[in-house]
Amino acid sequence: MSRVSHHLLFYALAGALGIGAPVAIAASSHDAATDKAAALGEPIKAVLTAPPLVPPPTNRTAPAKVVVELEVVEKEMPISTGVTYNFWTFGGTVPGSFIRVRQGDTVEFNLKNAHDSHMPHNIDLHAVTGTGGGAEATFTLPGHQTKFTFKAMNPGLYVYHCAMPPVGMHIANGMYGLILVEPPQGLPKVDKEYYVMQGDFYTEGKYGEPGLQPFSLEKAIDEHPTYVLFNGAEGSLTGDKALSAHAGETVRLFVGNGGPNLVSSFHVIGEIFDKVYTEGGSKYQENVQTTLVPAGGSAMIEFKTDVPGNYILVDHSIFRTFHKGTLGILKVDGEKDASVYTGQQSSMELPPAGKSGH
Amino acid sequence: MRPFLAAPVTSVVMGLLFSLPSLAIADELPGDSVYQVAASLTAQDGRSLTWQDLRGRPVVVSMFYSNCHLMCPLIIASGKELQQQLSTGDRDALELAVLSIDPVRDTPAALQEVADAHRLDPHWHLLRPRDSDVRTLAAVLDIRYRAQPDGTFNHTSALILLDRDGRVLARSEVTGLKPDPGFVAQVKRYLAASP
Amino acid sequence: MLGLVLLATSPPAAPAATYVEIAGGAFRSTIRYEGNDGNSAVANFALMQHAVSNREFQAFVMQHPQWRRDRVPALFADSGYLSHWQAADAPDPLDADAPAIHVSWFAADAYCKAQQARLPDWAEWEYVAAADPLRRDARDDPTRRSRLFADGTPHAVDAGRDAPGNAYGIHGLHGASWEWVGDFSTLLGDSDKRGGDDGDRLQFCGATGLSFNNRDDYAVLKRVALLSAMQPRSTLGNLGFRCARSRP
Repeated sequence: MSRVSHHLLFYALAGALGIGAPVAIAASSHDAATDKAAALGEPIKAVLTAPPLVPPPTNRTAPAKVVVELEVVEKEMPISTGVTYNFWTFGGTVPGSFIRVRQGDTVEFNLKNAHDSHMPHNIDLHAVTGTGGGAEATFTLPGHQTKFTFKAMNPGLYVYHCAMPPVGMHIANGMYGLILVEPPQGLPKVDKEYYVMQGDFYTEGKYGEPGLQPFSLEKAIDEHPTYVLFNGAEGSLTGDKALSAHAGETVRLFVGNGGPNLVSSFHVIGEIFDKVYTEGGSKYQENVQTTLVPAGGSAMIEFKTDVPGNYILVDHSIFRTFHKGTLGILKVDGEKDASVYTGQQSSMELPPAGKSGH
Repeated sequence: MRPFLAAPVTSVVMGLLFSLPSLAIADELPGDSVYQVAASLTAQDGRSLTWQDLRGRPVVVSMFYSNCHLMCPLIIASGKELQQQLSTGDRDALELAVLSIDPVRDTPAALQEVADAHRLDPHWHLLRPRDSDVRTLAAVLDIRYRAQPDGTFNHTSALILLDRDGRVLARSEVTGLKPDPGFVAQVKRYLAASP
Repeated sequence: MLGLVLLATSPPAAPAATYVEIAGGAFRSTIRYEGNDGNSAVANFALMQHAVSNREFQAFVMQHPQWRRDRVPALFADSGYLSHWQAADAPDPLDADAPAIHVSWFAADAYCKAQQARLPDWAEWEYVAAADPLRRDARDDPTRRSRLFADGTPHAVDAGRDAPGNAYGIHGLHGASWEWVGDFSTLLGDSDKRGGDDGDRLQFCGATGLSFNNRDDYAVLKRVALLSAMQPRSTLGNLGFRCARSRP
């Protein structure tokens, strides 16, 4: 009974809001999925991490059954100094917990919605092939949980987000995260892996105006954000929360962009990206300075740090960085290497301006 | 053919009991029985009964309204086709009850006209609830309906198999003249399993 | 002495609820069904001035003990039903005047029937809830609309006990609790059933795609999203109700 009503709701509301709704209602074949899963051995409980940390590589050589449990929590948290916001979160953080599985895995996804949530929520994972990316299977009322199972058929770095109408508001309030589907051979080993996700936020008050700031629909529709942030808060990646590495280490950044509106021109000041798997796909570009991360998209970035310093993560639409908060820091310590970078070698006055003019 | 409806005297007594806004006497009914909704109904022949009076025999139930010219004929056709696919013994053991979502217009006379037009046998009960009970009955049967300004209704259409105690055993959305074979199979299974 | 004993054991008296007469009129709903543009007329009706309180619901449960949380059938309520009460027949005295919550649609429906009333329709609820303290239809005011985003949370405009009534004299419609409506289950249509000879006309006899006249009215979108996700036996910690009466 409830399955029928949720199908109707999903299509009705999706249609009402002009989102293309797929034609066929996928008949969820619960028993077939269970039978196939039985061949995959003991289910593995997925390790989820809060940003900026990433779960360890799966180190698997065969598909497995993976169980994911993720809870939606609505909570007021700081968005900037002296400013708070009512975030809606997956796993209590913005972005939500990082999920890591392997291509071919059968993933049993359990979504819970905390008792004190004021709204139903659901989830659309871009890694899912199937109706709504899971959204129509995961309508979850407060104090309830839902379950569905999907096969991770394509490798890549995928966004997930809430798709409950009004979708823009759910995303604007922080309901997004990343799920990595490793290729069968795994990713090459690196020294450090980090999770960074950009998002734009819309508040009634101006940037920096103190207190609990309500969501501004007008600004969201006009695409004039108040804050553009990495990991849901100004300062989330600075000071003692800065990312860290030692000179000579390889770093992999899993970069996402939850939007809801803005595209990111992602750049790390002072570094060049050795490899960028553009849009989180399987092919990489090399020697990239700035890469575009679409709203609802991702990029996987790898580079080797060579010399110590503070490397600034920015959105190179640069006014956002300095006026809306899109700034993070990667602190690299270690031995200097003048053959790579000397720092300032000299500073002196020019000869006096003479007959040569200017 | 054994008459199914309760004798008139009992109906009157039951009718009086259920003019009170309370639940049916629920002690013996299972916790998921739809008969726990207290509702008094009038059949197409004018007799009064309660929703709980249907207890005791397997019932395929649906909801419709007589002015409906799209779905509702299909509901009835599906029901009749279901009867055709049963053995004589099974056919005798199954009741079909269709509740009106438009009690204002669906008087017993109007319902009798529908029964006559479709030549429905005595196993069919076209029932008119009180206005205030339609939503509650629709809620337990998960039927959705909405009145339109022109007097028609938009509504979902389903055949629902209830066991003797009013528990929902199977459900099938009506999409054409023939009932879903899986639903028919479930009806046959239940009728075979119980004497 | 006997009198004192009786006082101690009798259920708390709940004074009869105040109903306010609502003059009907033309109304442009935010919800539009296929085939009509959302313009409709709401007929005269009466609406409870306040949402049903825990104290009032307790009186109902005392008179109709089949609605106690330890007796209610699973058909009519889920496991959250009255879960916030300190006992099966007694809410927390501190909450006595707060809106009843953790009540299912069936429980709300039965309560209203016991008052010779009914749940309001969505159209009636929306009509009265369009008002703010000064205007009968305040929906064009973007500031007002944005304050309603907090409906269903403790920050809602009507969450406080002393929040003023609206222009109709009704209190608490945009409070910390959402409210049941009688026809919540029809707050959707199957807009998708394409293909097949009669396509979408069959699934929801007559076909009704639900759409919104005003996509900016996020407060209504959220309310519709919540109500249409509910089952009639579901309960929530922020979902209550009030009753209405038809007028000839």
